[in-house]
Formats: sequence, structure tokens, C-alpha cells
Amino acid sequence: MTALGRRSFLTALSAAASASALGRTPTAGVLRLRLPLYFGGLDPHSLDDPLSALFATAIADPLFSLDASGKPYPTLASALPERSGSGSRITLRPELLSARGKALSAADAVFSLKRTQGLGGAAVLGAFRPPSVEGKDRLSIIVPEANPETLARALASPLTAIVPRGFSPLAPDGTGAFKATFGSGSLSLARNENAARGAAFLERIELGRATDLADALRAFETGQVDIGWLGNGLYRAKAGAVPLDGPIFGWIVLRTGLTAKSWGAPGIAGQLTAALPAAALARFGVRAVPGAGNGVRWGGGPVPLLVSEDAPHAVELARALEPLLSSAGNDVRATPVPRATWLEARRSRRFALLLDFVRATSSDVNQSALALLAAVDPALARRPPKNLISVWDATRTLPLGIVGEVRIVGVHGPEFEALDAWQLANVWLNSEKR
Amino acid sequence: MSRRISGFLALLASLTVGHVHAAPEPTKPSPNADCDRESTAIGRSACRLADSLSGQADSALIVAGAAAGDERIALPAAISGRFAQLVAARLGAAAQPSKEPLTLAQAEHAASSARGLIYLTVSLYRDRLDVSADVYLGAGHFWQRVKSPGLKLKGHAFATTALDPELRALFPAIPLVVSRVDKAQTAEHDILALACGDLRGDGSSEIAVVGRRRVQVGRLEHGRFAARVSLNWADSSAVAPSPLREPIAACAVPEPGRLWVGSSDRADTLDLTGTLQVEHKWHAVMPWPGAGCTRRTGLGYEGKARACPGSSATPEVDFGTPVDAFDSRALTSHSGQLHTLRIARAVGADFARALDSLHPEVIVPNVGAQVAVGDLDEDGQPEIVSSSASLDRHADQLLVRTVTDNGQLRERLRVSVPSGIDALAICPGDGRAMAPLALATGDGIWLIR
Repeated sequence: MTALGRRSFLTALSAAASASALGRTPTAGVLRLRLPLYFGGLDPHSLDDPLSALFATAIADPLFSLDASGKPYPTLASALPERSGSGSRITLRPELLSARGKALSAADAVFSLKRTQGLGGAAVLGAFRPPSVEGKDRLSIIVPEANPETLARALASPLTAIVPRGFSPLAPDGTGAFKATFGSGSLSLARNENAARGAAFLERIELGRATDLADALRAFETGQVDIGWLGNGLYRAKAGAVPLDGPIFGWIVLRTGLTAKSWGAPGIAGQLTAALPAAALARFGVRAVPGAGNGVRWGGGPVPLLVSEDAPHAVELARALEPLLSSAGNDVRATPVPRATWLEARRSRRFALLLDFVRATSSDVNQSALALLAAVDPALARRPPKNLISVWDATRTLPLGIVGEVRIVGVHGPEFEALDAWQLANVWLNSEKR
Repeated sequence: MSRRISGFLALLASLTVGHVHAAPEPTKPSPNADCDRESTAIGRSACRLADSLSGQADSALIVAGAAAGDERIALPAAISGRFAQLVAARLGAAAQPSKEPLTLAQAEHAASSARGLIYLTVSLYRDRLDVSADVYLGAGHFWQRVKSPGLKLKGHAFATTALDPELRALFPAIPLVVSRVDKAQTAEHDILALACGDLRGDGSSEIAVVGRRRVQVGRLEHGRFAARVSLNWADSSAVAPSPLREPIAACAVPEPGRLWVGSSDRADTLDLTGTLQVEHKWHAVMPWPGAGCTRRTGLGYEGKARACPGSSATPEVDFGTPVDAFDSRALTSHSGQLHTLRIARAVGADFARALDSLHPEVIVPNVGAQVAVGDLDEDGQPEIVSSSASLDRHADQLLVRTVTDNGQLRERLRVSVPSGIDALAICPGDGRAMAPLALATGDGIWLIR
């Protein structure tokens, strides 16, 4: 066990205590949101689900985290990885319990890491061999041929969060500050008192599914919810509301497929998205990514722009993209399709244009590039291009272009403190501002 | 009477006798229990001494003399005279009290070898009355006394008792005012708890500082906290399975040279020596200063204090709700009664509840996350010291309130602490001025005197 790790762990914990002092931070309150997103599950290992990108970090933790200077420190691990033979050994903290009361052991860590290697974690774990439980030590795992420091950095990604064996996105479980429960078109995040890094200050976060953007914003205007976003500028100014300016949580991407024929060649998607006017999508909470070069309009004939019909935000965005992508005789028509159809089209690449989402887990350019590469093909993430200047660089040779980055931008009730950082466990209700 | 009948009667008699022998004898109240019922400190001391001396010199001359005690007061002759009278009364009609205080030489001169002498040395301190008794007897028979004249020391006894209002009134009142604030810088910026007391076991006070990373013991020297000894948490305890997002810590000095420290960040509470060597680790408990230990529940700790593992039993107290700030202190009341005042703040509340055997429950409003109890001015009325229930660091204040004899709260001090109070402790007083208060603030450690 290294002193650095413990110290860093406590540094991270203490970051949450900035509001502490004196009277303690109130541990009450319910934050209500209504979001025009797909409510089909919550999966920390998912790379393509906006709901998971926003809320999975609230329910599950990775083994390590990065401090302000970018150094890894242990969170669920008891210390930084140690060299063991030609690999690295990681030991879990003892007595960890998931929100649903399952005791976590090395077998759960192995399960989680193998699971995420086949999902979104391919973006960061592509270079590592599968881990295994170390002998009879029920808390230690071995990652063969892994450099301890590189491994710690990779395992600091939220895409590598530890979940109990048998994890299901529909009944998600983890060691995070909240316990998630899905209802019909709703998701409840209740305070998890078993949380490995401290239970949330808020008692609950109630999420409802909005049928469209207007529905989400009306709910804010009428006071049914506490945050108005993903449509910044559509709502009326609400007395006392304060701006919410949170981090980027992903990118809306345009994919080109086999049906696009020559327009499906790598790099074309990037040129198509580079032509989009920056201001046109601002009301969707989507901001153009700087650094795009000259763009082109679609010239591959009339085509559908496939979008999953159960994702209202994406559907409206696709409709807004129709005139922006189309050119004379080359109409692009937003086409909502059932999720299964959309997923199959994406898997087989049998589409011309498809609108998708890629989760951002870091502001680091290289990490972002890895996520975009893995979204196209996990194998690409194993050998990422070097010396990237921007995420645009990563897409120049991909059949994927960045429509824009999706940010947590909007307004919220003044009584909710610490929302901007979107560390939901640290959000608290200041009743004096009600 | 036939032989058979007489045999039966004999057996019956033996069984009856046996039954009587088997029955427990009525319990005689312990002498000290009797003495505790005495209403005055002098009465209690006299009772205890007389119990110890009973049968050694019941017809002796009883003389009380003043000895060095608190330098500010001289023991009034009336009190030493009364003490001698009370001891004599307890010993029996044959004992003869001296109304005047005498030196030992004077007393030996005044006493007769046949009856003996009990010489009482009375020392009055700010917090207690100490009395030692020496029994002097002459030789047993006339010729022995002729051959070996004079008195010889034959026995000794000692009693100490807390002061009552009568004796306390002999001392000048301690004003509850702030005369000085010493501020010291410290390298520790995340202090969670403080304790103040005799941590080295040498009678002098030191400050124990419990941070998120380490525990330190030291003193304030030249504007800095100078640590005598330090312990890294990471070397002694694993991280708690589910730490609190905003940590709670507590530390206590259960006896000189010993320190208990606990933190919600850590899996174990540590029982430490004065040099911070780990004597014991107690898993999943937190020290409740002055009351024992408590356990984690939800976002706080159980409102029930009980004996720490392996420690002697303490009377349990239960606030019936999870708490996040707590303290406890054994005190002597205005009327000399010993009692323990316990205080706790429920999780999410901005007030605390104080419980003891002398008052109905006292509600203390505007209490922040730091609270301590003690008798700062040693007047027998306890003070509750707390931070304020503000979420704004700059608006934080140190509040000192007295619980009066009728259970009312009286605000005594209010000190603005714009850097915020992260921890506080009451240090032992010297009987001359208010007991010092140690605060961990955003800009170091303050010692308020």
C-alpha cells in the first residue's frame, strides 16, 4: 500500500467537503429532471448511451481515479497497482458492498473488466490482456504483462467501473453514491449508504423520460423539474434560475455506411459535419467542435438518416440536420427506426447515414480520440494515431464525423449547489436559497 | 420421648438451623454509599475518613490543620475546626475534637498518650478537597508509656472529594471572558477533530490534532503547532468500507497518557499511547468522548454511546436518532453532585440536545458540526461550546452557553471565527481563568484563553 495512494484518495474525498464546515452540508433534497433520452438501461461500460454517460458515474466507481494533476490514486483499490512478475497486481479494498448489498471481490473486478473490454472499455483497455483472480486471494487480481502505471491510468476511466457479477443495465448496481432503480419511463437514483466513496448529499434524483424537447422544457417552465437543458434557449426565463454550465458528456456523431457507397469512404463523414453551421444546433445543447476544416454537403443521392426512434433528442436533432446536410437532389431525410433495427444497421454498417452518440469520459484529446476510434472499431483503439491535436484529427480517417459535442448546459433552480461540475454525489440542496 | 422421636426432632432442628445459616445475611450498606449521601463536601470527607479510622483510636484527640493547597486562599479555621468535629462525631462520643487548628507539634503536645491523636491535614484545591489523617498512639500500658513516652504513628487514611458550593465560594470567581487568542499555523489543513489534555501522562496539557491523513500531538510554540509525535492513518487503518462524503472524526483522552481517535474515513478507531503507539484497534466504532463508543449508521453515528470494546462499562445513553456531533463530560454540579452531561446533534438538525441526570432535556439551538461540553469557569454550571449552524464559513461563530441550575441556557460568549471552525476542544483549566478552548480553523489552530 503506498502513501501516495491513500493521500490521493483522501484528497479526492476532501474535494467533496468544500462546502462542509460549520453546519454540515445538508443531506436532504430531491433533484428532478426530465430528459428526452432513451431510458433502456444504465450501463457504466456503455460508450453509446447518453443516459449512461450522464448518470452511470453516479452508480459505479472505477478502481482508480485521477487527481487534479492527472496522477492516478486508488478508489476501490486499496493501493496503486504493484508489479507482480511480468504483470500487475491490484487489490480491492476489503468489505466493499454494492448498493444492492452484494459483497465485492476480485471475481467481480475480473467480471467487470472482461465485460467492459467487450463494450465501451475497449477504448481504454484494448492494449491489456484479460485479468484473472490471483490465486486464493479473494481481493486481488492480476493483469498479465501490464505496466502498473499505465494500467492505473486506464483503470481510472469510468468506462472501467466495477460492477457485481451478473450486472444488468435494467437493474444496475455498483458502489457509487446512488442506487438506481428503473420504473416505467423513469429512473430513480436513491442515496446509497454503502457507497465506497461516500453516499450522496441528495436523498434522491428523479429522472423522467420526456417525449420531446418541448416536453422537457415545459416541465422546467412549470416547475415540475429543477433543471432545464438539452434545448437551451427554448425555455422562458424563469425567476431566480441560474445558469448551468457543465462539462461535455459526449459527441453527437454522424456515421457513413456501406449504402453510401463512395460517400461512405473514411473521412467523408468528417467533411459533412464540418460544413454544419455552428449556431444551428446550439438549441439542442450541441456545440460545434473547434478545428474542423472545410466541409462538403451530402452528394450521395436521397438517403435516410437513421436514428433510433426511442431517443427523442436524437430524433429532433436528426430533423434539424436534414436541411443542413441536404443539397439539391441529394435529400437527407431523418428516419426514426426501432432500436433493434438501428442497432443492426450500425453493426452491419448497412446504412447510408446514421446518427449516433459517443460518450466522452475525459477532456484529454487522446482519451477522446480513443473513444471515437473504439466507437468505429475497438481494434483501432489499440493502435491510436500519435500527436493528435484535436478530436477532429482522429476522425479524418474514420467513417464517422463529429456533429458537435453535447454539453450539460441550461439553467437550474438556485437552491441546488455544485451542479456545474456534474459530480452528482456532491450536489446539495441549499434550503436558504429556496 | 422415645429415642426415635427425639432423633427426628434433632434432625429437624439441625435442618432448621442449617436453613437459617444458608439464608444470606442482610447486606450492610457500604460505608461509602452512606457517605455519598452527605450533603456537604466536608461531611463526605469526614465520613469516609471516619470509616477508615474506625476502631483505631476512637477516644483520640482530633485535630485538623491546614496544609498547602491552592495558593490563593487560606483554609478558614472554622472549616478545619468543623472538620475535626465531624470526624469526632463519626468516631463516637469518646473522641474529642479540637476547635482550634494546631500544628502537629502543638497537637502532639495537647494529646494524651493514653487516648492518642488523629491529625487531619486539610488541603483545599480549586477542584477538590484532599484530607489525610494520621493516627498517633502511645504505648499500651502505663509502664510501657513510661519506658517509651510520646506518640507513635500507627495508621493513615486519605479522602478526596469534589467541592461543594460552600468550599467553591472560598475561591475567587473565574470570569468567563476572552483575554487572549493565540493563533498558530499548522501544516495540517484538513483537521477533523481536536482533543486537549495530559497526553504524555506528566500532568501537562497537549493538543491532539486529528486530520484526514494523520494524527499529531504537540503544542503551540512561537505561532506554530509543533508536533511532538505523529501517526499516519494509512499505516494504522484501512479506508472505511463506506466513508462519509463529509467526514466526522472524534478523539478523546480517556486517561492521562492515552488517546482514542476515530474517523469516518477509516475502518478502525485507534487506542493510542501518549507516543501514538497503537495499543488496540476497534473495528467500525467511533469514540464518543466521555461516554464510550458509538457505531456508524446511515450518514452519521448511532445516538447510543456504550462502552468501547475491552473497556470498562459506562452508563449507556441513547439519543434515539443518528447523530453527527457529540460530546460528553463528567462534571460536578453547583451543589456538589457528580453528573455526566451528554450532548449530541441529530443528523440534519441545526440544534443539539443535552441530557444529564440533573435537568430535563435541554435543547441547544444554533449548533454547528462541532460541539463540546465542560465547566469553563468551574462554577458547577456546565458550558456548551459549539460552532454555529451556518453554511457560510465566513459567518461562523464560536458560541459558549451555560446550562443554569434550572436547565435554562444563558449565552456567555460569542466569538466571530471568519475562517470557520473545523474542530474544537476544551482544554483543562488552571483554576485561575476560563479553561482554554482549542479551535481548528481555516487558518490554523486558535487557542482562546
